[in-house]
Amino acid sequence: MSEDSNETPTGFHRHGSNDYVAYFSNEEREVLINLVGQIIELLSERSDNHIDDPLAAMVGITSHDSPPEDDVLLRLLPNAYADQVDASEFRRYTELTLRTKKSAHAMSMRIALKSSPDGCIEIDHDGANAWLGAMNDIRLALGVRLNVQEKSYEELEILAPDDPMRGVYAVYSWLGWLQESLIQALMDDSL
Amino acid sequence: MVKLDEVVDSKIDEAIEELFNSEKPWITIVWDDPVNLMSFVTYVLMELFSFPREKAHEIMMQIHTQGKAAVSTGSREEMEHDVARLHEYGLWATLQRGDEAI
Repeated sequence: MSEDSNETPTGFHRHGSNDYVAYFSNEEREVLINLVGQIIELLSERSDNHIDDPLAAMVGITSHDSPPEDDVLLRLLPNAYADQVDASEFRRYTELTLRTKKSAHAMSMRIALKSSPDGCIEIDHDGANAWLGAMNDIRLALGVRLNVQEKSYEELEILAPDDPMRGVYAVYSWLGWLQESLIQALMDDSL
Repeated sequence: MVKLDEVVDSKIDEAIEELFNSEKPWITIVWDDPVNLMSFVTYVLMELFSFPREKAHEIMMQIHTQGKAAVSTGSREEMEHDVARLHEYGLWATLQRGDEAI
């Protein structure tokens, strides 16, 4: 965050009745483009091999019926049932749609950032929901890398300056703050 | 005068209805997650289920303090739809029969 800037960081705020605006520094914009690109790439890595079954591709059936081995992908594409047989069946018929929707959220965020070289982002309600979904996916991914399931936030706050996770945690916290600002703007019904 | 085929139809309808109602409804559960912001969980519940803010907040607090909460009940198909929508927004959701211990 640019504390030297004349504008205090405010994150998102409501603009008019249905739009949400935020200003990002060059550095912040680059970080967001990079992170959202990683999510798009990660989701596309789990591509389907439909060479054998074009009909399955047409009706959106995925060739995957077992959960992803990668912990981040597993958190983004979780099991819907405790029972493994039911979970596999559900995954087979729905995972492709879920991946497509998550990619669409991330793409929407990336396009908005790429098409705003001045760092001024203006989004409507649907755009805001896409940003929330994409920002949350980035935070879920970073959260797995930071091991927030096991570690407390107190532990993460006092990471050593040379710990590579320190920078990751800084970005994770900043994204949480940014996401919160958008949620508050969306829930602000005083307008 | 009621026609015979209408009587038969209505009896079949009753039988089918009974068959489906005898099955316990399914439930969608959202589990606590250390990453998802409390305000985000509240917002997603308001968006997806059209809950008033107070109800969404109450369910969010139940998830936060008790580790999980049932957010919807209905047929298996309906609950699969709800789980898919919750997964789209990164909430950790599963579905199960309503009579199973959660």
